[in-house]
Amino acid sequence: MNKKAFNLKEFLINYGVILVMIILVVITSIKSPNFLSSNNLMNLLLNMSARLVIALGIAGCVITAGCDLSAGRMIGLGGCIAGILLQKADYSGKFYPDMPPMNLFLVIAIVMLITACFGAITGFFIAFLNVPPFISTLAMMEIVYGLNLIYTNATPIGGYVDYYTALATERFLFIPWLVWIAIVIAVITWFIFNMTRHGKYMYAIGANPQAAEVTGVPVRLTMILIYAKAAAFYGLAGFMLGAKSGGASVNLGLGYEMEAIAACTIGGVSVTGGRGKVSSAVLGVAVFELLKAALQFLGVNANAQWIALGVIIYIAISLDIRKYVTKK
Amino acid sequence: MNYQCGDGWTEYYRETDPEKRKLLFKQMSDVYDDGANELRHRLYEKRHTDSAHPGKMVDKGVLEIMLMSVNDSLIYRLSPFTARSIRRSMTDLGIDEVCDDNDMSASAVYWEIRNAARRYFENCKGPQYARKWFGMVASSDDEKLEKTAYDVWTMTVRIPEIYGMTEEMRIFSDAVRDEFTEMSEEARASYMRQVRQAKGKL
Repeated sequence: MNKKAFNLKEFLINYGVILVMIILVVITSIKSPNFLSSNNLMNLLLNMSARLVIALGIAGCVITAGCDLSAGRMIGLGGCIAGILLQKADYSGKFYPDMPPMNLFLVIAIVMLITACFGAITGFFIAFLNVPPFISTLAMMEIVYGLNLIYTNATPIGGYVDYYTALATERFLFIPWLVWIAIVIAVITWFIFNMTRHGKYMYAIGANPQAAEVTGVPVRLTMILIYAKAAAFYGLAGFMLGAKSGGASVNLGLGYEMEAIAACTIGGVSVTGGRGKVSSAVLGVAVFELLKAALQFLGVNANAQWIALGVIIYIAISLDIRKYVTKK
Repeated sequence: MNYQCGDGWTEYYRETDPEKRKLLFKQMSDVYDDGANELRHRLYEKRHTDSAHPGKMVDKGVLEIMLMSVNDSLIYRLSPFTARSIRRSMTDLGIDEVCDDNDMSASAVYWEIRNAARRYFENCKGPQYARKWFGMVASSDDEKLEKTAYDVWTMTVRIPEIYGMTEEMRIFSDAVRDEFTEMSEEARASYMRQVRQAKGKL
């Protein structure tokens, strides 16, 4: 590889995120040694797991120069359906009193399938009716929220079977099951992005949709698949968050879409489309969660943390645009 | 390096519609034969045939150029998978057909890639290209040209240098850069601006 003169500006643009992460870890661990305790790191991984699954779904949409605002509400729907299907048989407030709790894998399949259907509808509007992703997913966000409110009657869901909540508390090779689920999803997504035609098509659409059509890429079908896959991931994330919190409501996952979009951008998924990797989402989510944890450990007012997160989003998107836009 | 287009083949390489090129090839191969016609035909077939969907007209040339332009995401990590995918793209673009850098095979591959680049750049002027803010805002013509110039610089300078594949990608780099800079004066100026600003970006 060629040796080039060191350019601080370029270094900061490319490595800034990693640098911020390292500085955060160092400062916080000096001020509060507990920050690096195994318990806290495990907690951090648990928090990251569901958010990574959401970010991996959204990353596909952002790579095609789109976005998905319906993620949060889909998470709520996924969490509520999973919760309803996995309530204890003897729980007094059971949603379906006569229905026994289902098998975990079956519930995951049902939740992902239902949310994928909504995602496919969103994709259909984007692909066939040229509704901008921002509007299409905004509309779906409202529809899914409304349907979930009607379905659950806005009642919080609880009383889960032990084998569901155990996903967050029990471990395999010292790592909680929820983290393993996130790892499996990351590997599957990496494979889709890098080793399949679908992945190639996704990057092509992000780079130039018009040219993609010319090359024979099935643009419309690919767009539908991208949004359906993303929605299936949101459903799974809802399932995971339900297991972690031991309950769900229609507001589960509220606002998570913005965090996921920001995390993707921080990690290197470009809002101008075509650029981004699975590692971008992993890195972005890690930085975001580290930042939140670090602010807590540093004793920053919980409400002020939102301001810090907003500032980070501003910086990340400005840097992203700076990367690909040149001055005349 | 001087890439010869071949007597009378200019029109064939200027045309970007695959169906029209097919007809032009039939007409010209009867009249002009510089020994590279068989290769030209092979390159055309390689570019426009999809083994998974026989009969469907595709353009792998344009597709590979597009994918090459986005290959620089997280380039600083020098992923071995990216290097492998770049080599696969080069093969799909016909680089493996080159026998000797100075013979007609190199020229035929160069001109075929230029043709693919030409078709790609034609599609970089539409309203769907380089949209900003999650696809909500269209770019101006100037912005589109700057973005294309950035992508051309990425494909032809940044990626080859960072991955140490300058020699391997030379014909590809020459073809894409030449096609872009000869497109118009603005394009040439925009590319030169990228080169100037790129100092230290590699």
